[in-house]
Amino acid sequence: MKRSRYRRWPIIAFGCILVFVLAFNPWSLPWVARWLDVGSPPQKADAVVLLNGGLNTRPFVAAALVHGGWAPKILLNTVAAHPSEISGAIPPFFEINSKAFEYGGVSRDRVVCLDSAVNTTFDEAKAVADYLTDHPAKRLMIVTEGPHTRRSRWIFQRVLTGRPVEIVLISAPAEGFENENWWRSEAGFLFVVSEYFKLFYYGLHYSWLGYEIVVSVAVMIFLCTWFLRRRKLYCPRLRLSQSIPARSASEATT
Amino acid sequence: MQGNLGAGFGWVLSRRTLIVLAVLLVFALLLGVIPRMLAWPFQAASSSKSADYFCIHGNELSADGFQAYDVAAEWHGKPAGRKILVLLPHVSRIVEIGAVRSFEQTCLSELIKRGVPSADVWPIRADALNVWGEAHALSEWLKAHPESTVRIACSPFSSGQLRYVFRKILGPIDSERVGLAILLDPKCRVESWWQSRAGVKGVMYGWLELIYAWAKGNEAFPEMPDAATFQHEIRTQIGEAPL
Repeated sequence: MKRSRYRRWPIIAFGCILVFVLAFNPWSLPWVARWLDVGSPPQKADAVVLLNGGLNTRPFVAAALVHGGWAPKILLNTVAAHPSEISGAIPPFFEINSKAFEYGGVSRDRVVCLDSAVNTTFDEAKAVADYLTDHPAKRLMIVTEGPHTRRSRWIFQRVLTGRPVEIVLISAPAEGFENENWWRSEAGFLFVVSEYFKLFYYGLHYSWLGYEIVVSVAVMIFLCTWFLRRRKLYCPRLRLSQSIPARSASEATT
Repeated sequence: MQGNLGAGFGWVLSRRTLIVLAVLLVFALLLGVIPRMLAWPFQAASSSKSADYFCIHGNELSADGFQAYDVAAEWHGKPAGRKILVLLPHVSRIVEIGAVRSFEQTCLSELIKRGVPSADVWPIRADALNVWGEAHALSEWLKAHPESTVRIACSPFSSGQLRYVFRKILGPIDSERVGLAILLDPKCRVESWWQSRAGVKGVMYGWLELIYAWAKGNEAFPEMPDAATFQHEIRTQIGEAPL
């Protein structure tokens, strides 16, 4: 029994080292970002949905899709006013995106403004769902950076459940990093790691699955505690010195 | 009666100890002690030393820190004759195509609007893509102005990384000449960061930036293609739709 107790530590140490090596290996690290990227090649669609953010990349991709004839129009949500916008220091995000579309050869009449003042990707999906009530579509292309596509797909599929619309995610290039080298730049590190935190948060906040995960972890902790407790109660190693009185010499001889 | 948490690792906690620990943990969570501890790198107060220059940094969309232009204008007037430095970032694509003004133009117009003469606003052409680039540019400027002291405006959540990076680049002597002016957003306080979305994001990104700065150190940002090159690359990748 004693031997097994001391054997456990090398196994735990080896496991930790293995996890560490696998997690921080240049061979395995790209998979961390690749898993998040569920983007696919463009397909003919009824509209491009441009998610707000990534102003230096995303609108250029949306414009190229419309310019290339993949979709006739761009759906774009307005964003809740930023302090710099309120003070008049910068124009509204909708205007900034529209200027990028014009630069990409897409005229204003091809841009549909969803006046929704959104704050989150979830808000954007809800605004698109509202738009689809009056303007049904068969297929939408959603443009965002690669590592943001998994969460976006999950959100749109959840919000558009029951509607006959196909969702195609288009990965725009991220500023300053790629899936293959995300850990080499601060921008990539912040984007990819924060995306996992956000996925976890969205899982907890918006889905019953999240609560199931929490309950599962709680049950596992309870079972482990219970197992350790039972192990101690029936484990002579732990009980010998504490509760079993030493046998007398006469008992020992009999 | 003994509890068994940790028995598998060779140590045993009594049931009473476990209950006390659990109660303490619940109290710590309820009173916000643990969340507050998580924000310790961002809770430093602003530098109390006086400075000759007030420095604004940021990007074309916003300056770092809550109402940085208002604070800079107020600082400029008391006493008169103080100067404001602006650390200029790399010119982004949306600036290049004219969708937004450059950071320099925005700073100038916002400060002039608040009564600061343009002659008192000194741009430093950092062409920076991140904090490391800004720190290098400020380091050069400090070498050229050996008597000057600077206060940099920042939000509490970016203060941890800024303090670390500027100390690293400027060294112990020059970093004494640079202090932080932490501009707090009254709606998103560090002491209660977990109560607002902006606070949660601030702490998360603040920690990640700090961890990356500790782990990776001085980082060179990759080259950014200009708007025309980027658009050409994207159009080539996406191609034309089949008829």
